[in-house]
Order: sequence, then C-alpha cells, then structure tokens
Amino acid sequence: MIAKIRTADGSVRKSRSVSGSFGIPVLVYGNAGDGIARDDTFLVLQSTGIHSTTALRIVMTRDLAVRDSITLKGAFGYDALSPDGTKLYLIQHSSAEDLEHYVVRAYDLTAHRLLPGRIADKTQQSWVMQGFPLTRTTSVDGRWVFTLYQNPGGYPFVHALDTVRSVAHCVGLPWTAKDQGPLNRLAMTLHGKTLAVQWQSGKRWLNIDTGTWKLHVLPA
Amino acid sequence: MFRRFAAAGALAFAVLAAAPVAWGDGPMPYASQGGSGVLMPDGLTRLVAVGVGAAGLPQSRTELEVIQTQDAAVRNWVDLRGSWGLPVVTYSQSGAEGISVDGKTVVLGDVLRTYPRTTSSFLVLNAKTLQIRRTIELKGDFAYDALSPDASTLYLIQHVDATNAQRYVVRGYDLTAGRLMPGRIADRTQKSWVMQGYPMARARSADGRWVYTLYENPGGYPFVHALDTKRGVAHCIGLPWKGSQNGFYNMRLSLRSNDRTLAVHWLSGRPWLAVDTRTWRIAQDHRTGLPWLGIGAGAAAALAAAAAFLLLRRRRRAEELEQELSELLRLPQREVVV
Repeated sequence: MIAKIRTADGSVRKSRSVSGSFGIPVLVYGNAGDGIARDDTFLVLQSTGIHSTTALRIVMTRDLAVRDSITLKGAFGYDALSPDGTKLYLIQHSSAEDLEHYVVRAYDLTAHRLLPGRIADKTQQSWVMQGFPLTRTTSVDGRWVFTLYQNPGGYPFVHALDTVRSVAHCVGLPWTAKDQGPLNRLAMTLHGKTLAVQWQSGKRWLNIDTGTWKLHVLPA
Repeated sequence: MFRRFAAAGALAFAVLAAAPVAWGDGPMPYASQGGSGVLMPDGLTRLVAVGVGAAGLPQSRTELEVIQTQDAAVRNWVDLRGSWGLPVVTYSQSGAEGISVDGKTVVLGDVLRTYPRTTSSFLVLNAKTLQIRRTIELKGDFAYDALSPDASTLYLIQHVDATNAQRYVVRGYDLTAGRLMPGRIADRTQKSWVMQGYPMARARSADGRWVYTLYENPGGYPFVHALDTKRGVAHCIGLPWKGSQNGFYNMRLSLRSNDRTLAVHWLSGRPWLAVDTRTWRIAQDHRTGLPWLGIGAGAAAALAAAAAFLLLRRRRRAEELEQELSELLRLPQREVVV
C-alpha cells in the first residue's frame, strides 16, 4: 500500500494498494527516501529485501497508479534518476549474498529495457566498485549525483554520476586508518564546481574540483 | 417538548467506505479511512486507517498507521484483517475519534456497508504498540460514541429502528469484562425522552469525562446530549429552536469558564445559547462573538490612545507657545541698531 501524506499535518490524502512487497528506496541508512522524479510526476518503488529477482514499480504521484512494472533478473537497487526522468540508474549487486560488490547500470524508462554494459569510470577501468554509501548530494540541476562510499579494506571514495551522459568518475579519498567508522560523520556540499567533503561539525576535510576531479586536502 | 418522529418510507442503502454518510435526512456515525484520522493527545502523531485492496472493491485489509504530524513520517503501522476505520461521530468535526484521553487505547469500527448491520464489530488496540487487545462482535447495528477517560467503558450508539436511522439508544460496553452492559444510558430525570436525531457537533471536557453532542432533530427540538463517561449517566437538554434545522450543520459547541459553560454557537462565532453544565439551565449567550469583540476593543483602545496622544501634544504645544510668548513679553524692549 502506498499513501500520499500531507507533510503539514500528517493526514493521508490518497492511498492505493500495490500488490507485492515494495518500499521507497533509501540509499543511505537512516536518511529519507529517494526515487522521486525531479518534476514530481512519478516515483520508483523497489521490491523489499535482496533476492535473485528484483521488481520495480513506476508510480504516478498524482493518482498513485502504477505506470510501469519492471522485473529484472539479479539483485538490483535504486541509485538515481536522470533529471528528465527517462533513465533510471540501478546498483546491481554481484549476488544477493554479496552486497558490497556492485556495478551501476542504466535502465531506459522510455524503451523499457536495461541498457547493456555498466556505468563506470572510463578513465580508471580497473576501479572495482565496492563499499557502502554513507552520504550523498546532488547538483542543483539534478544532473550530478555524488555519493561517498565507505570501503572497508580499501580507500573510501566519491562516486560522481553524470545522470545525463551516463558516465561516472571515482575519486579516492586519502583515509589511511583501518577504521572507517568515523567517515559516518562526513557530509558533502556543492559550492559551484567545488564539492566540499566536511565533517558534520562543519569543519572541512577536503575539496574536490568537479571539473578536473583534483582533490585538495585542507590543513587540519 | 420533544416530539417523536417516525421516518416514512424505506431508506436507500449503498456501499460506504470512507465518505461521510448522507443518510436519509442527515449524517450518522461511521468509521472513516484515510484523511486526518485521529490526533493523539500529545499532538505529535496521528493514527490513520487506510484500506488495502483493489480500488472500488470492498477492502479486505486495513493498515493502521502512526504518522508524525511534524514531518509526515510513518513511525509504525499494523496490517489488520478486515475493513476497519476510525470512528467519526458528528457531521461537523474535523477528524475522527476513538482514542482514549490518556492516548493508550484506540477503538476502530467496522466500515459500514449496509444499514442496518446484523452484526457490528470493533477492534480495541493498544495505541502505542498497535497490538489488538480485544475484538468485539455485537448483534445489531452499533456505532462508536465515546470512551471513558480510563478506557474501561466504551459507549456505543445502538440503532434500534431499521427504517429510521435517527432512532438510537446509548449503550455501555465494559472493556475490562468484555461484555455489553444491560440497559441503556439514558437521562433518568426525563425518562420519556426519546433519543433520535443526527449528531452535528461535539465538545469534550478537559478531563475527558463529559462528552457533549448536539443533535439535530427533524420534527422535534434539537438537543444537547451530555454524557458522563465516568459514571455512565446522561442528560438531555432541549434547545428552543423553531423551524427548519437545516442550518444546524453550521452549529458548534465549545466549553468555557473551566468547563462550567457550554456555548452553543454558530461556526462564525456568533453566540446563541449558554448551558450551565452544573444545573443544565440554558440562557441566551450575550457574549459578543469572538474574535470581533477583541478586535473591536483593541481598535477602540488604539484610537483612544492616538487621540489622547494628539490632544496631549497639542495642549503641550499650546502651553509652550504661551510660555514663549510670556517670556518675550517680559523682555525689555530692544533698540534696533542699524
């Protein structure tokens, strides 16, 4: 069942039953849900749990009617939507048992098909996508989605996804301590072309130039 | 004072889910799904019952959700078998009822599909954990009326005439013993009073003990039903109204003077009657409808202050001029030097 609830007072304005077990995708543990189109016309529901088959529903926000039903073989999770709502980016886990390793895939919502290949950093082809998302920020126009990943056993990194051109860049972060737990206290903000990686206290750790992907560590 | 009214002809029945009921001449209590549900006493969350099932078909399941009022986040929910809703008693109230004063108990009613029901069902849940405490099934057509402050007694409206939805008696259900109490909750001082009418507006005392319901009563006098939910007794107060009661949906009840006065007034605030809740005496309410009284008094005070200020300034200026003049006059004549 999906319900449209007024944020002003919590009253339920509309509800509709959706058969199956679906939920609003949440990228970062403890954060608000994601999956709504930039123009608010639709949202993506994802089947709950990690299984060998993944079901997605495209639901119109106006009347909560299911516009499209997508079934994919494999363990997929929502990642992002392009600003015009034509492309859905998905995280494909290598298996339902291994959630740490993944590739990013694109689904064409107009042609109703999973696009071949993975969305990877073409300049760093050997980069292995693994880790857990910690925080995320999106550019004002919705084109760029920056996700900071904790990466136990490796370097944490920022995954920068261009949702218009379907390309990605990975920027490794200089964190040498074995314990990456403190990274849970990081946040990212975008200031023009500069992506600031800062502590929740407000103190900046480093800046990333999103034009050159050069990293500048700020003095402690 | 109170005339019996028997509705002629049969009533039309329809499938009802969440919409307010337009039933014969007026509305009757029902169980609602969706919308605002009921606000918890702390004001931080609300409970909303949502039907689960294909659109347009009878809902076979219900989701009872706990929603934060601040940000609309769903904090908890429970999936219930059957079609349940939060009770709505009066036509004019915004939102449902069914929550106890202490916020620990919530009562759901079965969503009405036909009138009269042959059996009526209620669910009593722990409002915090959403666990079902009791399922109630009663023979006959019953609707939620009120809960005692400690949630030990559930008051129900029992419709007693299949052809007249206005006719009812109030019954008590012992939630501790799990049984319908014998007899009706009636005004012992006016035993001939026949309960009939449509509930239009409601007010509740601060401690949750007294529930006042205004009934429109086509063919008779409108009245206020005052239910003492602690002692299980009631008083009926007939209201002096002649002519059509169609406008009564615009009537409201509110309590003032530490719940000692029940005001019967129009939605606009225009007063009509004041009922003394200790003696049940009624009188014309001469209070000027708020907020115009306050606004008027404020504006008058501001105007008076402005006028006084201007007057004072003018007087002071005149005094200053007078002093200046007298000082000038006291000065010796000066010679003009060229």
